[in-house]
Amino acid sequence: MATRIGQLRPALLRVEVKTVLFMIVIMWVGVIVLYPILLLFVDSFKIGDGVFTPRAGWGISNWVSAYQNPGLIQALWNTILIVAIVQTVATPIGITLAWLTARTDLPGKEWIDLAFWVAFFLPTLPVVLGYILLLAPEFGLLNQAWAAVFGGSGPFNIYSMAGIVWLHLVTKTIAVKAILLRPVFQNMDASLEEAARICGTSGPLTLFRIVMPIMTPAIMTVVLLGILFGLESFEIERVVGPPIQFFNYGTFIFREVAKQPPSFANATALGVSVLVLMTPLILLQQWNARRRRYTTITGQFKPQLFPLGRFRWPAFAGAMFFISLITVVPLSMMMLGTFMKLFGFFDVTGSPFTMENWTDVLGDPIFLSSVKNTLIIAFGAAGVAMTVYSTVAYIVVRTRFIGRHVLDFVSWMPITIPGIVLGLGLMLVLLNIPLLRPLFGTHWALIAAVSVTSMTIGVQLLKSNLLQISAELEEASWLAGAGWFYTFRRIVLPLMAPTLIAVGTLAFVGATRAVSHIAILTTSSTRPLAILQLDHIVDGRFEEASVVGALIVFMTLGIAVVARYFGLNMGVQRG
Amino acid sequence: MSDSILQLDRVSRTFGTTKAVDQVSLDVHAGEIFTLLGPSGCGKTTTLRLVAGLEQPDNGEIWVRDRLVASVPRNTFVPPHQRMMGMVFQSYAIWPHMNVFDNVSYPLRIRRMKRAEIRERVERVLNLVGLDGLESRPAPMLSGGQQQRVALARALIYEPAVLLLDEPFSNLDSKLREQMRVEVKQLQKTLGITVLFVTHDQTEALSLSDRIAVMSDGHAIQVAEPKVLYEQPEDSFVRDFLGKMLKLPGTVVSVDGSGKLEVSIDGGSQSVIAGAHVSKDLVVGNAATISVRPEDVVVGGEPGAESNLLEGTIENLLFVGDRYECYLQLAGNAVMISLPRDTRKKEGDTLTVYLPEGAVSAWQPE
Repeated sequence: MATRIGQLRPALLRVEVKTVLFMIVIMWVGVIVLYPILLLFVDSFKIGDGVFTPRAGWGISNWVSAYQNPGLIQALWNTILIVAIVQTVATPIGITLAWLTARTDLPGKEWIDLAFWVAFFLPTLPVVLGYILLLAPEFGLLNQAWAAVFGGSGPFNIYSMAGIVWLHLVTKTIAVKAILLRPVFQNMDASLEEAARICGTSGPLTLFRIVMPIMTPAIMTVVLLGILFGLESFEIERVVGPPIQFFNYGTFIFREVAKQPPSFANATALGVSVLVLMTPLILLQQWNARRRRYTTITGQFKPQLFPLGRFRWPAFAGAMFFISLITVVPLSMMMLGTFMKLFGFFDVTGSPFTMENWTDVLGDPIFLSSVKNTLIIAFGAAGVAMTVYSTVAYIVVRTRFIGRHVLDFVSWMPITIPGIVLGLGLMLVLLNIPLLRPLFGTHWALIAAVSVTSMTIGVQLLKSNLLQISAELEEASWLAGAGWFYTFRRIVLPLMAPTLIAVGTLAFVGATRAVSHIAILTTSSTRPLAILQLDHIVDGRFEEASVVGALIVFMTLGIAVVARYFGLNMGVQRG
Repeated sequence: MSDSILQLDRVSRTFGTTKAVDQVSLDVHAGEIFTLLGPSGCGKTTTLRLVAGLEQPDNGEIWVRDRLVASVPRNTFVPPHQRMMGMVFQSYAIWPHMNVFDNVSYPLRIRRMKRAEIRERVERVLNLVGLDGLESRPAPMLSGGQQQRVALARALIYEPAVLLLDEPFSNLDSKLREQMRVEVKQLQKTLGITVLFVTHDQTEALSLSDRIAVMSDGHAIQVAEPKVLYEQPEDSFVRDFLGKMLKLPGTVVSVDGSGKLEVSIDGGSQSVIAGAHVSKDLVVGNAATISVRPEDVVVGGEPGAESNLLEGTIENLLFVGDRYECYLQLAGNAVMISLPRDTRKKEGDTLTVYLPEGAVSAWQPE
């Protein structure tokens, strides 16, 4: 009993570390999520921004002028119209694909499902670029083929309303629906259907009376999520919209802010309007998510596959055709683009193919600095995600810290706030707080903005991971003499390591392809690859854009595949 | 008190509206195994966690030796890592990302001990708990019993003031449980450490403890040595919680100055004198319940006994291997006693039983 035991270090310091860490994290989350939104509301009633135009008190003049601007009403209408058309077309296709891969004897189901995941991880711009190269008037390959066969000029034009809808359908929209609905179809208890049949209900009637009502909450969730994601669309309209004077609210805000001098009046009013429009959708989604718990799926499911019969191979061909439209077709167009002197022109003197695009781009100092910027931003975002979000998850799950419920709620917000609106809010924060103003135009501003993209899913993953780690493991460490921070470092973080790496990867990939969150905040010295590609596309330099796009695809998809290969759970649960 | 090592003074802890621990005062002596025994939800684990510093009290004070570790009136709270408590958790809480050596040496590494000394101490403590040579075994590859030994080694290695055991045997199979019980008792004797032990298992409590506090609804109802607790329960909860009790209702017919009391059973035809615990507020004419341990009942009567002889009819006789379970109709009540394997009695026979005065208690009826 009397033997000497080494002295414990003073505890005061460690208690401080905990409190300080918690405060920093809470402040960080507040400043980059809550405060921008708050400021957006406040600033929409400010007359004169005090930076570009003199301050002149408060009032509703922003709102009046904004809503007298026919462009703004048109932008709002365009947004809603596109979302409505896209969801109407995408939902039945998504349901069909999910049902085919979950409940039928379709061949190669797992591979088709994997292709949906690839499409999900593909950044938007490379796909958009691929389709420009395929469907642009005149030089688009499909139009050239049409002209060669039928003569005249091809009928396709990506720069159109139909083009925009098409681009929405072949970027994530349908893939996400299939991914989310597949496990729901898989887990549905077949005995529910069988019970109905035994009671004498006919096949189609079973589908309508039993299967559809059971699936309704899930389908509704997926449609609502689709609408929310659709409302956040930016890249497609940014590239394809301006040539035909088509603006949605996102590109409208961007145009207002990019003007010289910027017009924050219209931008803030429109940003707030969109948030207000989205609120009922978010509430509906949450209500639906809560309600869903009490219905549907039982734990024990019977995977009884529906035989497709003679439709088996046609269905397979259809599914393969669709997944090639969302992956192989646009990507091969883009790869072709990287090797052509002038995309679509095969009859130039000499060979139409060249390596010059690659050598030009890879030797371009602007490109090199963009790579550097992307790496800084992506590693920064991954670092923030791992440290800040693990602490947020810890506060929410493990402590009785005041305000942890608010923190939990705030961590949910980013998935529902459109990137362009959050970017605008962050810009206002940086301009309004003198202390933070030096950060404007630095990488820090971009890291803050892109890290938000992975906040919701990151915190959720870490939270559920933390719930699986028994609190007794921590308590044992405290009793052994370790303070809170030592325990956090040596016990909690190592146990969370696999999830932390997954969240870090997710944040890295998200940062690499982020466009809408940083479009407003980027300056020429901090421009990352994604924005560089956007600028190349907008300027019509498709060959350079292709090279940059190819590198982005490699960085995002490549890292995701490598991470998956190394057995990391990429977070989004399968099946 | 010089040998007092842990004192709780009117400690309370409330969760929402539930008083998990309500005004509990305990005094644990150095070198003893002190057990908190009670059904789940009685507040025994919360009490342990209050001692460990994992919960903060709403009221009262906790002292370790002469050091105040938690006090509401004096606004003092020493966090768990500074209390020098060792604890074995119900789940053992072996850190899965470390091997045995890293788990056991963790408390010493925090204390910045020299590597050679750490190695030597780990070796010694692993030897003590019978895990020699398993230093480099990864934690996930340990069996339940080994995990518990690692947890024990980790808790003992820094020679804590008190070793806290939170239901440590509940996750083991029954054979291993018995073995570990003996080992822990042996270890405690060898090291002379103080142990605060939480369990809901009375066999564990009775066999391991020097003293037991029976807890119910957040209160410590009776604190006593196991034998005293078993033979002289002072509270009906303790009486019913520990072991089996044979109970008969009756009426008090006489009270004697020496604390004995006579209770008539079966409307007055038979009577029993209670000489063990007697509820103080019982007076002549009161309804009362008498209780006796079935194993104290003498079957067939006692030569020379004049009172405390009761007669009943055997209703059912069940052979269970080493003995018979005998369901006896005794003054209108069905009670169960044991009969030896070689008994000649059969169902329907009359049986006389003798309840020794010193084993019979009288209580207020429930």
